[in-house]
Amino acid sequence: MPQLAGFDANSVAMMSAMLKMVAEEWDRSAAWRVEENAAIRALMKAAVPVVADGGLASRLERLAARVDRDLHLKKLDEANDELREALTMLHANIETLRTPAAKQVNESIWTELRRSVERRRVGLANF
Amino acid sequence: MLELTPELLGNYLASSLPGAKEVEVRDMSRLPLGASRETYRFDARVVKFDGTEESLRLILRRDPPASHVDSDRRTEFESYRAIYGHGIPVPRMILLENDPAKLGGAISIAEDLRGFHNSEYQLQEAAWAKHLPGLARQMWGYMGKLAAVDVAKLNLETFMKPATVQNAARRQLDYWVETFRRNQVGADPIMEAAIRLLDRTCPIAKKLAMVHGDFRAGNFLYDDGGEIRAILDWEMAHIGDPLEDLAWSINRVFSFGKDDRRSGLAPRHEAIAIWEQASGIKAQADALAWYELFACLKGQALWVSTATVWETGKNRDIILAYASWWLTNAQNRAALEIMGRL
Repeated sequence: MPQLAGFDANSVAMMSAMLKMVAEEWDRSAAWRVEENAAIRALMKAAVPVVADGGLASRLERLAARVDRDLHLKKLDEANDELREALTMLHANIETLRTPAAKQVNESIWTELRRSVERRRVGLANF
Repeated sequence: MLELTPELLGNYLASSLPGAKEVEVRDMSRLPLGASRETYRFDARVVKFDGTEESLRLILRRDPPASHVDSDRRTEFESYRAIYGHGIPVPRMILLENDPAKLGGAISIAEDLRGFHNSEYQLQEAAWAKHLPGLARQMWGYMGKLAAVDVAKLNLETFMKPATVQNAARRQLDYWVETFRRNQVGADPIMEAAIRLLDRTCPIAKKLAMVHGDFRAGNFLYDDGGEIRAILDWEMAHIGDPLEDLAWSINRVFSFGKDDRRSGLAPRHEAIAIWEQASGIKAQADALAWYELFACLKGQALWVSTATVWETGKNRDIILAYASWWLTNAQNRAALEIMGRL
C-alpha cells in the first residue's frame, strides 16, 4: 500500500469518516423517517381547525390522513419532504395568528423541529 | 478539466511574469485546502532576460469547473492587495489570470508562506492547548483590527459592490436567501423560519468595513509557536457590517473541539470581548444575534450548495459530500439555539 500524504491522505480520511456516518445512519434510517412523518401528520391534524387559510387547512387534512405503507427510503423521503414543505407553510401561517390555539400549535411545531435535528444528528458533527 | 502540469504552468509563467525568459516549475502538488477552489504548491526557477535568476515559492488557486462559492478570482486577489499593509498579515499577491482558457480556470498566484500550519483540527490536539488563548487573542484581534480599518481608504468599490449602513444587512440577506433557495436539497422548515425572522428584523449597521466573509480557524496560517502568520481565503470578502465577521467566526458549526469554544479557540463571550477591544466597536446584542442567525443561513446556503455541486457530478471532491452531510443538520441545530428553540 502506498503511503498517502497531502490531498490524497485528506480525501481518504474523509472517506473513512463517511463510512462511519453511513454505519450510523444505516440502522436508524427508516425508523426516524417513519417516526417523523407520523409526528408531522399528527401535528397537522391538530392544526386543521386552527389555521385561517381554507386551502392550507384542506391540504393539511389530506396530508394528515396518509400513512407510510412503502418503507423504502426513497418513498419515505418523498413523503417527508412533502410534509416538511407543508409544515413550513403551516408555521408561516400560524406565526401570524394570536389565538391561544394558534400559539399552542406554534409551540408544537418548535418542539417537532427540535426533535427533527436530534433524529438527524451525526455523531462526528461539531454541534 | 485541463490537467495542470509543471510544463503547462512553466510555459504560462514564462509568458506572464514580468522580465521572465524561462520558468521551470518543480515539486508541484495539490494541497488539501478547502472545498471552493483547487490549491497547488510549487517552486519556480525564473530565468530572466537580464541574465539573473530568481527562485520563487508559490501558491496557485484555480477555479474548478463548478464550485459552491460564487466568488470572483479577481475579488479575492484584489482583496488581498487592498488589505496588504494595513496591519492584518496576508500573503503577497503575484499574478491574476481571469481567462479560463489559459489554464483551465481563472487562477491567482501568491507567495507561498511555507512551514506553517492551517489545520483547525490540529489545534484540538493536546500539544496545542497552551497556544489556544494566544491564538484566540490574535484571531479576534486581527478581526477587530480589520473592522477598524477606514473602509474609504481601501478603494474597495473598484472591484466590490458598494453598500450603505442602511442596506448592508439587507443586501447580504437577499443574496444568501437566493443562494440557499437555488441550491436547496429538500424542504428546510427551520431555515425558512430563520429567514422569516431575519427578514422582519434587519439591522442598520453602525459602520461599514471590509468584511472577510469566512474569518475563522482553518483560514489562517500559524507557526509552531502559536503565532498567526497570515489570514487566508478572502474570496467572499465584501463591504458590509463588521459584526458579520464576528458572528461567522462564532458559528457553532465551527466549534472544532466539539465543545463551547468557538472556532475551537475560546468561549463566545471571550471572542466578543477580544474583538470589541481590538475594533473599538461595541457589539450590540440584538445586531450581533441577527448576524449570528444570518451566519446560520449563509452557512446553510454554502452547505446545500456543496451538496448540489456533488450530486450533479460537476465536482467530485469528497470534501463536498462529507462536509454537506453533517453540516446541514448541525447548522439547523445552531439556528434553533440562536432562536431560543433548541
